[in-house]
Amino acid sequence: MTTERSCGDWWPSWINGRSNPSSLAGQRYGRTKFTWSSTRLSAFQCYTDPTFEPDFVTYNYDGKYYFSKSVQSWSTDMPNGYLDTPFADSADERVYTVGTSRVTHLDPGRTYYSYFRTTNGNSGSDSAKVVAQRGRRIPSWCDSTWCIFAQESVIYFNGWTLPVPGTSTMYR
Amino acid sequence: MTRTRRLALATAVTVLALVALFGPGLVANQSQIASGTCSQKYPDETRFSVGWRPLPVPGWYCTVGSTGDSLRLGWWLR
Repeated sequence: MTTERSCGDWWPSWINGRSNPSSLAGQRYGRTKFTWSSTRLSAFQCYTDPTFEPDFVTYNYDGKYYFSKSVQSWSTDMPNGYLDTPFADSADERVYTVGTSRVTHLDPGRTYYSYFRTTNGNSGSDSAKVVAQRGRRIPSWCDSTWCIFAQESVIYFNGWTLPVPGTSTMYR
Repeated sequence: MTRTRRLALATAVTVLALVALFGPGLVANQSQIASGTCSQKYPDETRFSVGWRPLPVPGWYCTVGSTGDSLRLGWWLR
């Protein structure tokens, strides 16, 4: 929509994905942890009104899903966190997202997390990837998901290599 | 043509031009759908960007990081 300056590599230095049964009966959780080096975060904060989403994407081409669609609970320790409601839920890839609308409030070297919990899906195992998405607030003062435009994405665990349930870490 | 009609015509032309230039590019959830669509069209790519472009044909475009190739995804995405 608008021409954007390039500020360099903005994605987290590493992302850890984890999923397991919840302590609450009949529910399961997914969680990502991630950290930016000072160089990466400086680059990220150089972009115009930047936002960040670690999208937890599950494989559903086979119709088997570990998580149900609706999120029962979510949290993050990133400032200005939000739950992104999928607008057009792909039948083949389900997306669970807890992001931040204010990347400028993040600190380098700190490990942040995003967490969601759903009721059980129809399968005891699944596979996933994590899509680190850089977005932009338009207009700048608006923090609603309706004002967050996707710009660029970097994929971790490409090829659905994040086991569900299970845990794995990828450096980029 | 009266002044009121000229104003109405100018307004209509401006609105049409804005829709032609930006259209769904002003709708945030369309950008999210574009991102998901791009990811599915290029399952082997680990980096891509999406954006609205008025030219050469208005629509959402996906640009792949490794090659710089751009693919038009469409005007309104579902």
